[in-house]
Amino acid sequence: MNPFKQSWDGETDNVACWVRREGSSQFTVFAINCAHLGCPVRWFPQSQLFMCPCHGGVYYADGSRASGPPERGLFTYDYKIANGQLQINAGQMPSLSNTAKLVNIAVPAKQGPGKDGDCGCRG
Amino acid sequence: MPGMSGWKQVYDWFERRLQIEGPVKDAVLHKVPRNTASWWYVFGSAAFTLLMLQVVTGILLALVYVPSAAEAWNSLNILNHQVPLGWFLRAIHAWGSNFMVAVVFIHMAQVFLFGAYKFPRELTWTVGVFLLLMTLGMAFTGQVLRFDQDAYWGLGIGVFIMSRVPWVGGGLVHLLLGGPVIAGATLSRFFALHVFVIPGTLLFLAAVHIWMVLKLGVNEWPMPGRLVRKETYVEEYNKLAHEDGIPFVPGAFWKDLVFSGAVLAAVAVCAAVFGPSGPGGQPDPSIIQTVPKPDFPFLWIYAVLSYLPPSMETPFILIAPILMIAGLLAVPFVASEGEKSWHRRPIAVLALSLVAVSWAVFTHLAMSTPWSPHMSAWSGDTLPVKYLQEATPLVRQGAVIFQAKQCRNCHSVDGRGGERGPALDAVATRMTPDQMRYKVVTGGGNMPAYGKNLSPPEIEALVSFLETLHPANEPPAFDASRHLAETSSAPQPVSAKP
Repeated sequence: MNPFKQSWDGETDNVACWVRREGSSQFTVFAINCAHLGCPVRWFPQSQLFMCPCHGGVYYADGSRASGPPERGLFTYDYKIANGQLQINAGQMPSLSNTAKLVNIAVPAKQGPGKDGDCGCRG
Repeated sequence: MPGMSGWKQVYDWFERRLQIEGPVKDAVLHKVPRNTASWWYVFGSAAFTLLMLQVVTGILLALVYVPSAAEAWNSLNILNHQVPLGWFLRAIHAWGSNFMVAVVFIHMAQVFLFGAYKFPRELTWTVGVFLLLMTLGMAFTGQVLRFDQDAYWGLGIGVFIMSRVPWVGGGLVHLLLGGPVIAGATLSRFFALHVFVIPGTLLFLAAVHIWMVLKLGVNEWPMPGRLVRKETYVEEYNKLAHEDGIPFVPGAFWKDLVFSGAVLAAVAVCAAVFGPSGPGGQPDPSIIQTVPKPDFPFLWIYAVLSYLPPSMETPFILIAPILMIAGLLAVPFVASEGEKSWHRRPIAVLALSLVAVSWAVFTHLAMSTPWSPHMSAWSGDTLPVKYLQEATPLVRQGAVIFQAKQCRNCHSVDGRGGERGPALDAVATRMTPDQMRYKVVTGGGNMPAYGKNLSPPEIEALVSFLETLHPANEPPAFDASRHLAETSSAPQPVSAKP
């Protein structure tokens, strides 16, 4: 569990991420934060692009930078499958000074959002 | 009830112990040059009045506000909707903040323009610079205490800016957040900053600032040709204050009072008319349908960050604030003597104008955010009928692709849609179909490459639609060389035989 978690964290306890299912047990988990200044990117399945509403950073479906001010692609979280659950290491806000990892949060993989779903994960 | 003599006895009892009457009389009745009793000299006192307003309204807000990440947003909504006049209290505090930032900047510009930072008032200016920084610090931490979506993502932007600092970036982020993520500890430390640390420093520095104003005297009205020299200035000033001076109270002070009263009234009117600031959506990071935007004083930074080329961003973020603050602090030491009048300081006037115009332009841009994609333009903005009348099925299919693939989020048509990319109403006059195909497939500049995301038939349909986008009286662009090759009767090149 998150050693920093407190009962008064409220909704800020939630962690948002985009989960892309690549195979039966293959996933890529993207942090929601744009690699430019951290605004929440949105997924557009029609054009297969992530777009940031702040300064217009755009990423391809694999998270690589497509255009706009970001210097790199989307951050990813580490994950593992345990007992049919997709567990995501998302206890640290990603930024250019860390590699976005820390704590386990769990989402049932079977009820997972499928390809490119939004996981409203709770720490 | 004690009679008059009774009150006098009480007063004397305190005065004998406090001995404050003398210093107060000195401060109140000290002579200032007559021409400083000007409407130009009222901004400093107005800033202090606003600080007092913020302290009082802040204390009242703190009676209801709950500084907990789980409860802050709810408590603000209760203030807005359930506590009688709670909304008005919040509105006064928010508008007081806007006015305070504005008045502090105007005060600083006036002091700069009037050369009031010169000897012996260098330290008054230096303390003033820190007062400005503290005021901006209050504005930012106050925005965080609102603890809505904007506050949450604004903090996120703070994290990303901090994280760019070499070596210690990670540590700074941790210091800012009080943990690895934005959570309860983050709000608690911003509460401590906003309510104890910064206001305490602000009040102390304001006292020092005002002490120096009283001790050194109000800056005389600058006259062209009257130069400041360290050897003679104090003597000249005292002569001016005594030969052509008036007591500070009421001579100059009544204008301060009137202006401060007018500013308070303006705050109240704005609060009543425009209401409180938020809170916006709840601070739940899994709700991502949001377009975070900083509060008014920081809008210009938002604009600058969007216009800088990516390679310039980190150096700018790291170096520019240091240069700006160092520049402000250096002003009185670079020019501690000499001319005070703006009539003879063209560089100072130009520099101030440049800063003011740049600030206004960037702030204005940040209000319309032409660099941000319109996230719902693809599904929400309609295509005008004129673009689809008498269109072939292929062109119509292209129009559907244009909408469905989110092109509209960045490209406007008929004045609606994003402004991040160029408007496409006349794109066919600028680009040939081949150039359009190439641009769509490979992207470039600020455009993503759609080569992998669109099938060849989709690209063909899209380009067919784009080809129709030109004014009626302006033909679409065409490839002159291809046209020539197809129509020319000139001999075609043949391969030479050995």
